Amino acid sequence: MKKTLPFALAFVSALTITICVFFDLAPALVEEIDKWFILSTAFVCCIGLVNLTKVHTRNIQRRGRDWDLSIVLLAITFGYLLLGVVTGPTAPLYAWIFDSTAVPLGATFYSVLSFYIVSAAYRAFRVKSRDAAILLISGIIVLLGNAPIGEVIYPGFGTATKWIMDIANTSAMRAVIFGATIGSFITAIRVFLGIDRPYTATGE
Amino acid sequence: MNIWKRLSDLDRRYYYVVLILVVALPIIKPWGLPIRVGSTTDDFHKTVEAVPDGGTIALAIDYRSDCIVELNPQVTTLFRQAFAKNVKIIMWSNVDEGANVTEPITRAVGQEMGKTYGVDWVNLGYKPGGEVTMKKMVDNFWEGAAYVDMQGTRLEDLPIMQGFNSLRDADLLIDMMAVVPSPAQNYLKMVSIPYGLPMAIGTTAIQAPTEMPFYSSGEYKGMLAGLRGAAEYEFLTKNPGPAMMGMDAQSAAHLLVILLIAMGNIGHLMDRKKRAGAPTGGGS
Repeated sequence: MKKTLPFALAFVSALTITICVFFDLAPALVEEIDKWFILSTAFVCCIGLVNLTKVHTRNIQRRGRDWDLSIVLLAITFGYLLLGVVTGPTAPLYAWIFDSTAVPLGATFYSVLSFYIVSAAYRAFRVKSRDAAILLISGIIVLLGNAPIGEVIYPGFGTATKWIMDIANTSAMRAVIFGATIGSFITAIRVFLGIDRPYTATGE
Repeated sequence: MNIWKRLSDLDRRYYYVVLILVVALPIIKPWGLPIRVGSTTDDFHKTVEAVPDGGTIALAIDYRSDCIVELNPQVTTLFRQAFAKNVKIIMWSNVDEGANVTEPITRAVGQEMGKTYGVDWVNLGYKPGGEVTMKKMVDNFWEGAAYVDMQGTRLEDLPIMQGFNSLRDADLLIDMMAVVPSPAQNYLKMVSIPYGLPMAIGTTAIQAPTEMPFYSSGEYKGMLAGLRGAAEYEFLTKNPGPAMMGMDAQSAAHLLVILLIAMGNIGHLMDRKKRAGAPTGGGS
């Protein structure tokens, strides 16, 4: 039952949508399945919350690793959730907490990347082969072409960057996109036929 | 340790401090480097300019707080350009944090330019469901938006929503995005290409190469790429702001990265040459 029911649901839904959309049949049925999909997407957040609560409650009960942080996490999660439900997502207090914690924290974590990029550029970007040399030269041209200083040093950096982005990058990215599209089409067929079952607990 | 080895193996704390100084100094004392506008930004600006007076832009906000430095200036300038020519904006987010990160900046621009929430712009909040929601917004926008805005106000109580029943009623679709997989490519598939709705995007410098093929093929009518794109857009609309201010710092940081790459490589090559030339083996 645990394997058959999810597969039957996935197969019937996928088959219905494919036939109805392809042959333009039963728009009301397609709309109904779409509604269920949107609802189930929203419901996934609830599953995530239940899972998070279970994992951290167990950690607190067992006095596992960093159990005190689990208490903090649950208190913040449910405290903020309760505040949002009671006051609404645009209430001044709710918005103030978000704007003064999540927003600067997110931006700070992202900006820390600049230190890693500088470190990686210095330690890892070494010319050890002809390919690495081509990559390095292209990288330096794009770095200079993407900052105003590049065109002050030499106006041709802008044109060279445009060529790299428009021709070299676009050609490579199109090949990647084609490959990824074919890959996702094959994955969709495998899920459709029940060869892959990512919706079951074990994936089998 | 010889000098070449030392050059290629500096303590990271030194260049971390240099990076902080190099980024901070141009912000404190700007260099005023000239900004040349690229074709992607120019096309974005022209596409927004082509929306008729009183028209509507459908704006998807698909980024989180980590990318506000690059994308908030793009959104702010878009609002300024749209409001200056009396164009309305209906915005929502396919990403959980999106509606929240843009709420304060859009309100500030609205108030500054004397615009009214619910009449000139609306923030519908987070709308989950990905591609299916996008399609639903074409078939029945109100249902796709779950009938309420971010504050829970019913759509029938918002004047801007009167007569806007499908994404097809918009004059332009814009996606400001910095998540993977790309929601902009999904909007192309589900909305822009099948229904012929013009589309433009704003994204981070990291994601711009991934989106470039769709701009080159003409599917995106314009594209703002990273802080540089935002700075060019601010320059074009004559609204100097944080992005233009950040250009000098970005220039300085790029120069530092190039300098460090050169130092690391020179040190590495010279050290290798020295080792190759050094006598090997015994000695007494």
